[in-house]
Amino acid sequence: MAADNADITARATVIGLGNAGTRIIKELSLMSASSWLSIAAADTDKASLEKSAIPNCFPVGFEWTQGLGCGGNVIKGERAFAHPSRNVINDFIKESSLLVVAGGMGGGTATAGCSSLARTAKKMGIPSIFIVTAPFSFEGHSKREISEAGIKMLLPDADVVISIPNDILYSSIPSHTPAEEAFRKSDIEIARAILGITEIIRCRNILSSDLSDFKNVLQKRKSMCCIGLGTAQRSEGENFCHLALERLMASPLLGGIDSLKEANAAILTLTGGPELNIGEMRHTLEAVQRYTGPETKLIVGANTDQLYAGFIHITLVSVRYEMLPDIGGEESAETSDFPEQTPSDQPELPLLPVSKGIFSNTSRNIYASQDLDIPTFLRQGIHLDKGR
Amino acid sequence: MFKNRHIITAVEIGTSKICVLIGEGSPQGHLSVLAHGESAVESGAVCKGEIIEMDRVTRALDEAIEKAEYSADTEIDSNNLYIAITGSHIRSMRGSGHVIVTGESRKITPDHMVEALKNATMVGIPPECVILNSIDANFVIDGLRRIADPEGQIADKLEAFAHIIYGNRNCVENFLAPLRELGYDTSIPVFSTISAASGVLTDEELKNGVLLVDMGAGTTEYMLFHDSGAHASGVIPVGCDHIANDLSVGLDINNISLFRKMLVNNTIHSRKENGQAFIEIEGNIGTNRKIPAVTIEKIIDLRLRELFNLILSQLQSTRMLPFIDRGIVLTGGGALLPQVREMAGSVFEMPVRIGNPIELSGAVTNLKSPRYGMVFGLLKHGERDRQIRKSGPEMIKNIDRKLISASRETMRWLKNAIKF
Repeated sequence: MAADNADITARATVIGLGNAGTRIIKELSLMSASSWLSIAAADTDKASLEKSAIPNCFPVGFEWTQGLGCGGNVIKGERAFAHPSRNVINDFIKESSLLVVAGGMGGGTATAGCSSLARTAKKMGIPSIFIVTAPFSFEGHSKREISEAGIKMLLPDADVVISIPNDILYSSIPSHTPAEEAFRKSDIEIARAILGITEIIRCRNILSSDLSDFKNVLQKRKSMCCIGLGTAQRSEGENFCHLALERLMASPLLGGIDSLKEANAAILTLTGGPELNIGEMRHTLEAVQRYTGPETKLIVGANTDQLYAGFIHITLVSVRYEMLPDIGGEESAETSDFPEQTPSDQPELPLLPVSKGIFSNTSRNIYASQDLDIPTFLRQGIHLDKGR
Repeated sequence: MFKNRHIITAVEIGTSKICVLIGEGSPQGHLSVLAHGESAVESGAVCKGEIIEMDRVTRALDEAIEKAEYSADTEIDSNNLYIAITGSHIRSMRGSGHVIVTGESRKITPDHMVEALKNATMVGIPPECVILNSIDANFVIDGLRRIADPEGQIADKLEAFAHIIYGNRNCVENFLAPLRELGYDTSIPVFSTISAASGVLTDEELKNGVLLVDMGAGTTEYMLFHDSGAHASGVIPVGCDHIANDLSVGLDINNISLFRKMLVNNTIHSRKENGQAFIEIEGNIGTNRKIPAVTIEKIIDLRLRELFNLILSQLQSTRMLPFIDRGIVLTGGGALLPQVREMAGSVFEMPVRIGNPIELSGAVTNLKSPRYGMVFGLLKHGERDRQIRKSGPEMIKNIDRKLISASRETMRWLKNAIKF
């Protein structure tokens, strides 16, 4: 990539593709911290663009879809992006130093648009990050296949692909949340994630973690990512670092604390105001370390920035590789860097049903693969005379 | 009412019993036990040191407190209420901190010690955890000399190592909840083995190195002391209830309370002493069964041996075993089992002593049993903690540097009180 890291932050462009992407961009544009980004949305659906009220709207393929969207048809999406109307988008990203694309995989516009934009960015020598959502499992197998095919197409050209499964929303949002609010919340989260990731790259003055770290961890390897963010204000009390961490762990897109334990890699950045002191930094970063498993590759960054005066902001991207040799043979050798399974406390599968007596309903008690609640002599297979 | 009297209360929510001790500290620092209230926990309300049925525990606790208040003829001072915490969620780690000794003479003062300790306790723990206690382990001067009390020494750099015990916040809160329900909001949690150490270990043992094993009904805790500091600790969620359960499951007799009773009353051992090779137990269908005493002993032995081996293997990884000079002190209800001493001795290859409460004084006399080592120690710990809170950092000097840092309340207080 011909990107010069020195001016990577000069002009970062964020583009939302399709219906979901437009919604995310709308939320992003409402955030004050996004002022330095140039934001745009592109869709084949006229209604969704009009509703979003984003200043930079690019209707693509309106000439022949009549602004009705492409109805989940990837071929239609590809045709839309091949059309001259998309030169406007090329002009828009031409000057960028970094391209961030958000979209919901599985539909027509985003699935086709992402790979098309990735190719363009590659041609122009712009580093690109794709933050895409994978469809809900209830949306059916066909949609999932489309989305997987889309990501497969995207991988060779994009620098970083972060794919967030929508299903993760269930695990963290209470089921009585109104549907509209839940979706909005997920859009906000993804918008914040975009912000968090661009922040990682923008300000790096203490411990640097940058785009190449992302590339190293994510590039061309099929993986599942979860993003968590936590922000706390200094005025919230002395333990505001902990508050930020707690919020991070409660992030709906992180999928709970356990997802971090199972992660193969994690990228963690902490951004604070100029007043951030070393004790707070150490405290917070060490605390996260304890959450990750022993095999997790952890990349840590810390920054200070005037924009964050009085705040602390933690972004965490956890990555779990899927151990399928799916993108050509050469990468399969690479995956051996990471153990397929972290050693767990799983007990041996009992071949004989053994009663735990009064402990059968209590929390498990596994030490060195032995369930201590089962009588010792049964586990050791010692035969005893039970009398008559 | 509490202006002149120093009433301290210790509460233990154990798997087999809920115990409340009320004590009074004299201005000279002498502690006497005023009253003892106890109520048995119904089977299953507390399991492996974790509260399963909150309302039954709350009721039993209420009863125990009432009994204690009645016989002490005084009310509990809720500002000096200590509760022992245990459970498999408790972890420990070592924190280290250092200060550069400044000043013309480069002499180490208590202020240096407190600041080094303060730095040592500033460790990152997972956000869902809280620090329960931190105990100073030892100091190192100039990175070379290990020393328990560095005050007055000339040095450039003072390092402090602290043994920090932390547990899951929700699990700790669960222990405080029954007390809160009863209107005591300001109870102070203490890791149970720290209290047990105060109750059953002599200063001489603490100094020369000792391993304390507190075997309760639900859990077994251990802690290694050397040079008056703690160096390793852990909780293994295996206790006497496991032995009773082993017998019940192993012999196909679903009568756990019968086995509990047998263990408490030492039935098995005494029958065997009398030359009886079989023990008659009422079976499930009403008929009596003759169980060989050897079988029962074997089941108990295997469990105990496994438990001690587990502790041993955990300690081996800390490389602290050679520092145990005075052997092992066993306390808790499990120490009353007849074969436990022999078994611990053969696994650890060390002398073993049963830890009864020491320096026990006051109106209550029936506490001289390892069953009460921990709760009595909690009372002593509370008295010391109260004194530290009362008199400030200077106190650290005066209490013989014996397990000083006390509870987290005290540490918080120390941090606020001393401005560097």
